[in-house]
Amino acid sequence: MSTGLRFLLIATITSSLAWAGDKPQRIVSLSLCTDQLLLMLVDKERIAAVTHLATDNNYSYMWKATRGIPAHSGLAEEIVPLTPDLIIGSRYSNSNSVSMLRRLNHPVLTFDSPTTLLQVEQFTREIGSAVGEPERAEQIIATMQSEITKAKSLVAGKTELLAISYAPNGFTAGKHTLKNEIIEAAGYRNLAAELGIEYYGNLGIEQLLYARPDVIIVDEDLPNQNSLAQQFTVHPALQRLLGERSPTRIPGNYWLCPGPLAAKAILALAEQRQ
Amino acid sequence: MNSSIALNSLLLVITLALVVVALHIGPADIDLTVAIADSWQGNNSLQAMIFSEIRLPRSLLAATVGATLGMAGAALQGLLRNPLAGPGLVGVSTCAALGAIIALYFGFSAIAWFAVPIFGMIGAGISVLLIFALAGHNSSIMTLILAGVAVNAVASSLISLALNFAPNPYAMSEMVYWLLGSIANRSFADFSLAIPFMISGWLLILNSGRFLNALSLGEDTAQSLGFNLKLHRSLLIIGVALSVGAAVSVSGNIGFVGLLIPHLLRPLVGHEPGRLLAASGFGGAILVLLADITVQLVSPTQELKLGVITALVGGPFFLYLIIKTRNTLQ
Amino acid sequence: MTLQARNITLQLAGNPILHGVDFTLKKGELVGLIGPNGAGKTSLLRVLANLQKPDSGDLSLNGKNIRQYSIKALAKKIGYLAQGAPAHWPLKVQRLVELGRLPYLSPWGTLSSRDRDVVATAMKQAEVTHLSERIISTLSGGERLRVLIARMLATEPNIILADEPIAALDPYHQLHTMELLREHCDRGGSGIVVMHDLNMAARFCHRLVLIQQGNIISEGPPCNVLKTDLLAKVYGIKADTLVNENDILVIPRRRLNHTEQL
Repeated sequence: MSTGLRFLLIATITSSLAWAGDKPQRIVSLSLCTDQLLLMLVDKERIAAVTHLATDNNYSYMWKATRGIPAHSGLAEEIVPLTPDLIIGSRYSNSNSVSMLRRLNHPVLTFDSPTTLLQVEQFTREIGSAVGEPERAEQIIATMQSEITKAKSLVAGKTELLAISYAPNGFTAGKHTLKNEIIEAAGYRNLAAELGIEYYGNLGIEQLLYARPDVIIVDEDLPNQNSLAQQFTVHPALQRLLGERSPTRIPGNYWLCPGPLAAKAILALAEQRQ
Repeated sequence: MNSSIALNSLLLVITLALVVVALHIGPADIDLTVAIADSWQGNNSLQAMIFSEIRLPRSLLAATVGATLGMAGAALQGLLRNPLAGPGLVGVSTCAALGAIIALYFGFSAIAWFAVPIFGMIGAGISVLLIFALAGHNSSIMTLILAGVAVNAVASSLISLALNFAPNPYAMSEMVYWLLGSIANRSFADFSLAIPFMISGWLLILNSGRFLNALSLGEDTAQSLGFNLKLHRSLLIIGVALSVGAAVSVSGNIGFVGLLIPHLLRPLVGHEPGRLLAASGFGGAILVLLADITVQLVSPTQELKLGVITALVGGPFFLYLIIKTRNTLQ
Repeated sequence: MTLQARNITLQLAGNPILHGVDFTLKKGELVGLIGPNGAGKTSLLRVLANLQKPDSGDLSLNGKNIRQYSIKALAKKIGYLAQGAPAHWPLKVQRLVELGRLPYLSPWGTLSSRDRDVVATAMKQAEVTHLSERIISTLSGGERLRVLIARMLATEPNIILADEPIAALDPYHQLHTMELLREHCDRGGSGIVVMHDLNMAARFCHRLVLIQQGNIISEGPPCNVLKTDLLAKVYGIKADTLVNENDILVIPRRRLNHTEQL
């Protein structure tokens, strides 16, 4: 679906809602990314349910705000009894549930995940107007922009270091990803993009060492979590590569979901420039 | 005796040569002589880092894990006097993996750093006792295989159950690792954690050589030759549990090595179970090193699990064995 | 060397097997242990070989309780020939016979020249020297048994305990095996042999011990044990015996029916 067509659709739905004379009052969100934005945009009284993930502070920045809001696990049979008047989700939300809900004549809007900072603003505006809070959306965008400006002033004039985001299983983000923009906005060159990785990819530890990044960005450790995947980011070779310096750590919930929290990730990275 | 030394020396040379080959192979293009020289002089060069932090632990793990599986296979075959008893087939590896999984994903490894291999060893030990209880020590091939199928099935489903309920987002996707086995991206810490237990296990197994030789005349005759059955059997089982438990906890369940290797080498040692032990150790090391080198060459990004290679070689061989022993199965 | 068992009782899996058996084996003696299937012959032999711990009773060797001997020391004194001549791997004959020297080897040590001499002598006695390079699984039943006897002789035991060694052999090899056992006793050793062939037992053994349901029914020289009434009572058969000076011949005629047995 082209952006224009989608705008048209949203415009139609929002105008029909406006014509009904009210903002949606029983909103259900189907994905962590729309959960978090929804929690920023509207008062909790108007939220019928968010996903379980949104209540987990390991993944969700807005977990505190979910108190008192029912959590669902994505099944249509959990959502229908909530009698939602608006359902929002990501393009990749559980497609069986989405088509089921559509067949049952529930209004479902799905959104593409933003891959650039500009798209983040667009994404925020789209959801803002879908839920009838365009002013709050603009406030969120303004906060974002000021955080990014602050971050850019922090790193202005500093040498461009080569950085890489490294996640469990050697997962890293290359070109055409929001993480790439975040890393560049914080004044780094993204090694993964320079190695030719498009979208997301996996990089073995030997390949990582060989490429010699100056900075390795890892998510903050999750408590009581251990798996083979997570052992990638604590491999002794990474520490040896960095020598005296330590890996740059940012809370995972800043950038797990592409969205306005990206600005917080940029600021956190900029503040840790050593 | 002399032919034994000659054979083991030959196998040792092949093992060492393969370690050197394995050290050469990897996604990064490094000069190994420079890397070794830098490591030796304590230069923190890129070459030294890749050599000592990545390739050396990986190659050493391939060799030692392979040696463990080969030797344990020979030991179990000698103990049960059954050519189809391997640590994979009778469920020792799967149970060891189950133990390691419980320790890793349920926070025990955070409490004690050695929890993963210890739990692996406990799992391996329990499975050998189970096999003894189910199949007995005078088991027919059929009983042994059925007991192995049962133990493997229960342990595999418990692995799925444990990974399903593990409070970790990555647990489920790591089932493949545990069931197929891999030594990719292991660090020296993993190697040094496992190696003391593997070596202790090897010594116990190697020390049982004469007992296994005597056992080839039956349990009564072995006892009449001065072997305390309970004692020697226990020592051997502890040896298998220690080494396989530790090996599986750092490599997952690499299948077929313990079945295949003793079989290939048995004619070369005159079918003597005692002489087979050391030879199978080297043989196992050679097979796993070869498999690891193949994995590195076929898919340098290490998406392919090492156990896939050993299973591709071992599976058809197992079928061949079944056909060969079909008459005795009836 | 004297092996003496006193008041041995044994239960296996809840079933009574031996009921207070007394038994003595003297130097130079070859004793035949006979009795119907399931009488407890193998169990008694395993108790005497110290392979099976009895529930009660004492076992002594040269007047000293068997528990005072280490398992290694006993291994050098008592040789055991298991039923069915088991050999689980296709070993080379030479290597198999050498296993008989296991009790004598020092930890991690190898065969001494004396060990090799003993092995060579044992193979010669059992007439298997020419088979030394053969694989055990390729031998005939008679050859295979002789190899295992050679293995046992290589341990240089004073006492030989053999469980049904001749059951599966042709007459030539039966004679050969019994001769080997008898020669061992004539050299100053002693032996107990479990067997079913009463004529072979009578021909080679100095003494027979007849057991039934875990009790010794009769023991003594073959002529005194192989009596038609005893054979009827223990085996349930009608047999004729031919006695000629020292020789006795048993000819089983037919099974007894129920009323005859009572």
